[in-house]
Amino acid sequence: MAGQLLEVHDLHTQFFTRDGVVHAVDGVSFELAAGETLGIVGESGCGKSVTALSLMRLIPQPPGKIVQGSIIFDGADVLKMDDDEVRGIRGNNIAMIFQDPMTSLNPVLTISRQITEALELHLKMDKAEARKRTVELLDLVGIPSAKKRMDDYPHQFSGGMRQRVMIAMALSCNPKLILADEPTTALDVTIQAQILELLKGLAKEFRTAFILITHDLGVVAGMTQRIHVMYAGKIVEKADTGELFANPKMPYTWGLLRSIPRLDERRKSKLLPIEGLPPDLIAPPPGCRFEPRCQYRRDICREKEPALEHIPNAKPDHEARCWGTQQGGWLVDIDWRKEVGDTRIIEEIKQEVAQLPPEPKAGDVPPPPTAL
Amino acid sequence: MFFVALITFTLAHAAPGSPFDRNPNRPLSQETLDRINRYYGVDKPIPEQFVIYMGNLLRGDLGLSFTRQRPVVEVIGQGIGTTFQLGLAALAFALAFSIPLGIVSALKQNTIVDYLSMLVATIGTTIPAFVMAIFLISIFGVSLHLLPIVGWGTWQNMVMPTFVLGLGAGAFLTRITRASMLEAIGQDYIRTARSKGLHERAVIVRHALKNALIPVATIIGPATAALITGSFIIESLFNVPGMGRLYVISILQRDYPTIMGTTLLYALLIVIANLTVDILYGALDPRIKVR
Repeated sequence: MAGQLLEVHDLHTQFFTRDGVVHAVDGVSFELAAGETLGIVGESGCGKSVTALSLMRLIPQPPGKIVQGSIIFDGADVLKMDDDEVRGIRGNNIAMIFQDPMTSLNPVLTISRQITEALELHLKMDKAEARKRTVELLDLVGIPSAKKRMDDYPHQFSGGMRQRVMIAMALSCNPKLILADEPTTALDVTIQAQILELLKGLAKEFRTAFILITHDLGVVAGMTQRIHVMYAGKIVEKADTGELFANPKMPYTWGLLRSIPRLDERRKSKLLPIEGLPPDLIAPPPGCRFEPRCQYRRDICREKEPALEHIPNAKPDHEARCWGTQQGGWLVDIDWRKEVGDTRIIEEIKQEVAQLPPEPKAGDVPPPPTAL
Repeated sequence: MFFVALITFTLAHAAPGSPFDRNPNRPLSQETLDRINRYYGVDKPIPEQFVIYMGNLLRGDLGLSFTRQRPVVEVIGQGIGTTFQLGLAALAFALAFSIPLGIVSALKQNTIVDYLSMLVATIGTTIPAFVMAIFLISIFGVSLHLLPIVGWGTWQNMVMPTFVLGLGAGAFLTRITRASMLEAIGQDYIRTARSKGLHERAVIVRHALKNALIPVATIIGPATAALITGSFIIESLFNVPGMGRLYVISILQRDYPTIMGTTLLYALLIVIANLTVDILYGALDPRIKVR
């Protein structure tokens, strides 16, 4: 596609450990237009953060290595750049906000120093200009009496304030893209909302594209235009945010949605966790990676891996990686919501699944669910 | 300091023998002995001697050396300059090689450079100073005739004692520097610094080094103490006319006032070293405020 700010194609990032090669990111492709916002959602260890770090070539090497793929940012392949060119992009065109503001700021440098160093480096400002801009930035992110506090050290700020500092730092050089890796996970809920609002507002104001990485679907709901769901190093579903919540097409996404507590549920309903753990990324399952934990699985899921494909009964740009919901699958017409919040219904669903029209290989009985 | 004085005093007097019974070939008459004891105040009960000593100490009087017939202050004054010269040279030498070596081996972790410097550090910590000293004396002094074996006064005299004394402390500091540097470069803020597009050198010098030096600074206090105390052996071996040698000789001669004076001075130096480190610590780490 032309005119994209970022095109990631078939990205593979692996970690070479003593136990074997960990396929942390395994063939991820996506695009992002200028000013567009994207959420990447998935549980811990599914490759979200590694994807983000790969975009800036910040994967610690060794043991990590980007082994395949291309990352076209603004027309140039980040993976083919030399170190100086990459440094010219980091902080300048792509900025990153990290998860834990407690540890992501250097404890022995004042916050003004940590912001001005990027300004002096990329925008060639002198000390006075950089300090002036720092005050503006800190004002912008809502730090009270910024002028007085800019020479304080990180430990003199609260967690939420430190994350504001991180946002100021990320915005400092007017980047075209901000990568926010779980920016609110380490903060308490009221602060979370403030930080998200701030990020959203500022990105809109400066027309900055951002990728919000989170394990919490609730966080991305009001934040981004599109959502990509990741599982075990792969993108398993891509859709517009509204579409994804209204019409999800991948059992893993259903599981994520079911595990969000809802205020409008009846009181006795229970949250439904996704049973088991994500697969071992050293030796991932040969078929669908979610198959071992999927309650709708069939034999084909174990044997062959589904592609990320367009889904019937959905918007045209909605794609999912699932044999069941793709054309001719056995989950095309299922209403996933039926079992929300009620464990009792799982048995009914299982029966219902058993009665669904058989998949191409006729006569198959769904394998008994093996608890992981 | 009071307790140091009390303990040293008690221990020194508890050791068997007296300063004046050394020479069995020329026994002193009881009369002479009594007179000498009275002159130096050793005839009084020990607690009373202590009180008198402490009283004098507060007035800056360390007493009279039994064996040298001169005030202890003067005797120590002669040795202290030499000891300081040696100690500071050794500290400078230790810092000069240990910190760069530690940083380099942390940055090049698990490479030949790292293994080599860790080998040097391990040798430095495991081989005792007196073994190393004798080793060096036999190579450079006896076989090659490059350096004088004993004595003091020229720079050639300083080379071996400084090297031996600095090696142990420096080897220890190398390990600490490497460990804390490794810890620092694994921190999240280093990733943040890299994400800002800083040059690797700026990341290391500005962001990692300052954090890594905090634990190193903490160790410099005890390391300085180790240099001071280590100089007993080195000064005796190389016959350097410093405090360490004086200390050893005075213990052998049961010269109580000199033992006391040197011990107190050592204690004072260690206290000062640690205090300096604490102040340094406050300057390095903004989380610790010097009040």
